[in-house]
Formats: sequence, structure tokens, C-alpha cells
Amino acid sequence: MGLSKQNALGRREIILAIAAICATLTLLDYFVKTPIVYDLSKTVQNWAVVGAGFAMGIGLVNLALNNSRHITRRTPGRWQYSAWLLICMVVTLAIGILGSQEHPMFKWIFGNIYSPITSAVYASLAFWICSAAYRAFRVKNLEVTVFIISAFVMMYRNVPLGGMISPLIPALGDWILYNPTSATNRGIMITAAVGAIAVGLRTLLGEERVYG
Amino acid sequence: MTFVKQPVLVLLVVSLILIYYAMRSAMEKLPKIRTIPALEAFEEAVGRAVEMDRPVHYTTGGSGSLFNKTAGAILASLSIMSHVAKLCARYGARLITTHRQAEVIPIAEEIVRTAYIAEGKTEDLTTDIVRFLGGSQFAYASGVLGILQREKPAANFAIGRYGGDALIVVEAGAIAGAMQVAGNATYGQMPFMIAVADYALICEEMFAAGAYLSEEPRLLGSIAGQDYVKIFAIALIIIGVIATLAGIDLNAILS
Repeated sequence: MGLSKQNALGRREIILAIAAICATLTLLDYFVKTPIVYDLSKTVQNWAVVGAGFAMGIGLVNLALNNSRHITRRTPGRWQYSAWLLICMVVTLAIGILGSQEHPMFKWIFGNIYSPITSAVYASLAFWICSAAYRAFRVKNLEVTVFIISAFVMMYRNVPLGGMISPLIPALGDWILYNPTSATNRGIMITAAVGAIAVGLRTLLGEERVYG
Repeated sequence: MTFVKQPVLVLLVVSLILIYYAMRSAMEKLPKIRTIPALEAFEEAVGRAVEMDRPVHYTTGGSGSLFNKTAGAILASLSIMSHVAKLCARYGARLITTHRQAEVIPIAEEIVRTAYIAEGKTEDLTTDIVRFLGGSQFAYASGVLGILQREKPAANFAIGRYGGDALIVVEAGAIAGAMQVAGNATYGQMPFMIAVADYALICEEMFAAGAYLSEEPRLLGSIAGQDYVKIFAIALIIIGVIATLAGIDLNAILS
């Protein structure tokens, strides 16, 4: 493998070797069905779960540091939100750790605060789509014209009104969905899969030097 | 002991093609890679941020994780982020990177630190460049919304793995007046990003971007290898279509 001359430990090579061994075990489990490979792969995956737990701790520290900086500096129009974020984070964390995720208070926070807020942000997508459509749907060239026509056909296909206006609308919508869209999606999937394999190979072979 | 034959064969062939063309490029002449407009726009975007004295925002997406099959997209995004970090360090633009995945934070911090050290701009390194915005998709989207509206970046790089948050991020960037380069590994959200962003990296281009920007012979060779793998895939599709039309059950033969 060639250890670095400056560093006898070969830090980068050791990290690459660990990554390659773990990735090979996980990949082997997918393709070769034996008990020993399965056990080793599951062990590696369990270590990954533990690592993810530590990573969440690092994320929490990052969040706390960034927001406490705004509080200490009294950043105008910002520090109040940072204070509120930290209070909510500490309260939820305390209830979750001291009382477990089955605690009624934890479930109440999740069901009555977190879930509705998540749904509200997701629902706001409708307005973002309108805003994007208002700016993007300008007939400038042939491609945009086809884009706009397809978008309207698909929108009307998905509501009963489209079928009431004309049976051609759902038929055309189905043709667009099951022919050019499907074909394009599958082509993109194949190329994305090849790209992902290439990135994985480059990372495991140490060619992607951005990771140290 | 059982082997799952077909996927092994496909993965082996794909890997061999990629490795062969990577090695060939290192030893012989470089393949000619077409210009990708989105990647050529990186310097323009960072330059715009420097001129307007506004930050550059880079985000890796509200979906995906390094612990499942979506890791490739996150890794590709981090590879691109290192180039953006180097440009920001070189030209003196303020950089903000935001992430949903906690496991990405230490990697992102290391990437940014390495980029700034490489450009000799360690004095511009601050601890608030890399920001964790919470582990859930829409908490992340809300955080990005807030940053885009408050900080008003001049350049917004939304490259990574996105779900329903894709349109929120790029539309908020457009409203903030940022020049945007978007890239997504999932085709479902791609149309939204293409419609709103100034430049788009469509799936495969995102995976090739890191190699393209590095200009290293082996990495450029792997991009050429990807094209030959696609030719191999097209050949398989044609063989499959002909076999199906001829009434031959290829599935039974291969298994």
C-alpha cells in the first residue's frame, strides 16, 4: 500500500484500509450468503449505528455553539430565536433522556409540536410551487413551451376537472407519465447508479482526496 | 454458500471498466470531457459573492445519509463542496455550509479546514462556517430558509440529496437574489430544481463533478469509463428488447 515517509503510522492509508475492509464486508454480505460474512457485516453495521450516535452528539454541540454565539453577541433579530431553540432542545433532550421516548410528555411534544410543524412546512410547498411557477413559466422558447403544456396537462390529469373538460386530457397525461417520463426516469436511474458506483470506487480506492 | 450471480457480474463488469479507463488515462492521453456549464459557473458565482460582499451558501440536502445507499450522493456533494471552499478561500468570499446529517459535520469541517489551509487563508477560518441544522428534513429546510432570508447569499449551491425540501431551498434562494447551482441525485425533484436554479447538475453530472473539477487524469478517466458503462447498459437493453421480441426468456437463462 505504501506508507507515507513523513508519517510512519500512514494515517491516511490506515483510514483507507479500515474503510475498504468495512465496505468490502458489507458488500460481500449483499452478494455472498454465508453465516460468517453475515455476522461480520452485521457487526460492522452495528458499529456504524454507534458511530451515528456519536455523530449526532457532534451535531448537537455544533448547533449549541453556533446559537449560543448569537445569544452572547446579542445578534439583532436573531438571538431571541437562538435562545428559544436552545431552550426547546434542552427540554426535549432532558425529557427524552430522563424519561425515555415513551414518556407521555415526550410523546406530547412529538405529536403536538414537532409533527404539526413538520406538516405545516411540508404544506407550504404548495405556495413555493406557485411562486416558482409564476417565475419559471414564461414562454421564451420551445423547451419551456413544452414544459408548460406538459405541466398543465399533468395537473388537470390529477383532478376530476380534467376528465370533465375532455377525455383527451387524462389520456394524454397517462401517455406523458408512462412513456417519455418513465423512459427518462429509468435512463437517469441507470446513469445515477453508475455515477454512485464510480464515486464509491474512487472513495474506497483513496482517489477522492478531499476526505483527507 | 450461495452467490447472487447477476448483480455480482454487473458490479464486476462496471468496476473493471471504470478502473481500466482510470488507469489508461493515467498512463496515456487524457479523455476529452465535454464542458459542463454548471461547473464552469462556480467561479462566476463565487466572484459575484465577492463583488457584492455577500456570503456563499452551500448545502448538501435534506435527504439521505452516509449510512445507507444514498451515501454516494452525499460523498459526491462533499467532493464538490471542497472545490467551492477552495474558491471561497482563494477569493475571500464568506462561506456558509449547512447540513442535515450529523455524521457529515466532522467531514465537512475537515474539508473546509483543509481547503482554507491549502489556500493559505487560515485567518479566514471561523467556527460558524459549518452548521448543523437538525436531523429532520423540514427542520433543516426551515433552517436553510432562515439563513437564506437573513444572510441573503449572493451564491447558493444546493447540491446533494433532496426530497420535498428541494423546491423550498432553491425557491428561497431565488427570492433572496442568489445565483444558484443546483444538483440532485433523485430524479423526482430534479424538474423543480432545473426550473428555478440558474444552473443544474442532473444526477450523473453531480457524481462526475468532483472528478471533473479535480482535473486529475485518473479521475477524468473514470468519467470516460462511466460513458463506456452506459454503452454497455444500452447494449444490454437492446439485447433484452430483441430477446423479448423473439420470445427468449433471458431471466431463466441467466439465473
